Amino acid sequence: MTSLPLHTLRRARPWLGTLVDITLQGEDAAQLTVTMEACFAAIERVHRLMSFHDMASDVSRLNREAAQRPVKVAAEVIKVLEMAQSISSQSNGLFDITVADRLVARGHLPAQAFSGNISPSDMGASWTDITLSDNEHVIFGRTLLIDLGGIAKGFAVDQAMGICKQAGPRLHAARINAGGDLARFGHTESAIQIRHPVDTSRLLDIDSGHHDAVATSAYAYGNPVHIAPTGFDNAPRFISVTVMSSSCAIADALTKVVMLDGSGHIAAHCLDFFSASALVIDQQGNVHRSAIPAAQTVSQQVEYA
Amino acid sequence: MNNPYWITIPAAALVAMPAAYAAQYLSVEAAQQQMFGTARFEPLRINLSAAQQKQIDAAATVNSNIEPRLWQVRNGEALAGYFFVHDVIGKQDYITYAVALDAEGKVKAVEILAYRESHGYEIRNARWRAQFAGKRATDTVKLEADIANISGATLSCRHVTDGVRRILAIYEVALKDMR
Repeated sequence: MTSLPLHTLRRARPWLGTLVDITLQGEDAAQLTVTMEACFAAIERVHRLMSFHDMASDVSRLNREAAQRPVKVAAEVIKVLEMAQSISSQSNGLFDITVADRLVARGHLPAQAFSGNISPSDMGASWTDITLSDNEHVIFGRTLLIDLGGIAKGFAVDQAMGICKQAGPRLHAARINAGGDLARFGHTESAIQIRHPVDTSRLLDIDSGHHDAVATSAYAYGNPVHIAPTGFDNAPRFISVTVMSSSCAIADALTKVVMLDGSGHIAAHCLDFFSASALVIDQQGNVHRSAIPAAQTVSQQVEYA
Repeated sequence: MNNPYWITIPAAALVAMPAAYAAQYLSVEAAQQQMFGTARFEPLRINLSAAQQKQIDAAATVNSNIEPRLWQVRNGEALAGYFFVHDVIGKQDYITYAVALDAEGKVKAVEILAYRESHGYEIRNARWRAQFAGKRATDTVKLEADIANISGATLSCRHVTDGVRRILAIYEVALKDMR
């Protein structure tokens, strides 16, 4: 077993608005190629289903039609909506995929995608107006816009990682890095690092512990858009938030909760509930980490994969 | 933060790293082979008229000071497609990517060949850039950090997306009716 030569395959392609970088390591070079293509196919599928910009995506169809009639969507979209609803519920609405109309209003998302097709969201519409019915139909109780940008990238990484985990024992290690969202399994010699959002020449080594998935949201580069739902203070509490979890989608979404709630009790509750931990850099450049949640051992392990 | 849930970590935990980040994925040859197998690659030089140039610019502008390099790909005598290599430059990054179009001009594959991030002055410096010419995917450039294990190294692919749009415009304007 130890004498087998290991092959490494690494590729990067532009998806999800970032460069998705995948490294696979294993005994069988042909299998690495097949697995690599399957990973990128899964990521492409999530991109096509959940893009806010693409008029043909399930998300765009929901935004155009779900306030009028139930809209059938792909199983993956239902899965992400269920996760989003769960995080919205646990965070008292601090995480809310219906803030898209405000993102459009501020120019962070394109308005032209909806010219003539959609009315502005009802005042006060929120995640509670989204209903997931049986057999993969979705209906909006009020006119609203959803954007899965805060969770879909992490979900895409989870989907690809799921393929790697099913590839069998000849695949020894896998690592997927989609911008801020990173997941891996197997033997990896180097620690995960976080980049300082202002002084990008500085890196922070993190101990991701037993967690396989890490997501970072930061202010100084890339994705500086964090919009709080109505009734919440919009000010970001940190310049960088990293969440470690067993799921990249959960980690991705929770970075927004921690970014908006700071050290408040909502962030602490959500980290505990989803068995995640966080590492943050505050405005003064000080680094803090959340206390390791007591629940992380077994009791509240939430399995979404 | 005076909150028992949060524990402050000493500032020393932040380590200073080189200012440049880099990753190398594929050589031009490896990308050609991956995308078209054992086909024949003929370098193609197209002389665009001012009108064609204008048409392409109208369809897609891109942050690059050079047009893509282009190969015509043949299996025997049959046209298999086109292969492009292009460099795009962002505020802080420099990306080389390859695009394969099939014989009908449809995008077959996009691969990032190399990625560099650094300060703008280095990217614009021709000598600094020249050091990457001829680099192979297996070479590692010392004093640069690999982005692979870095969370929060959010790389925009906007320039690549713009570049692919430009390549499609070049196909429409200059290649489509040539064959």
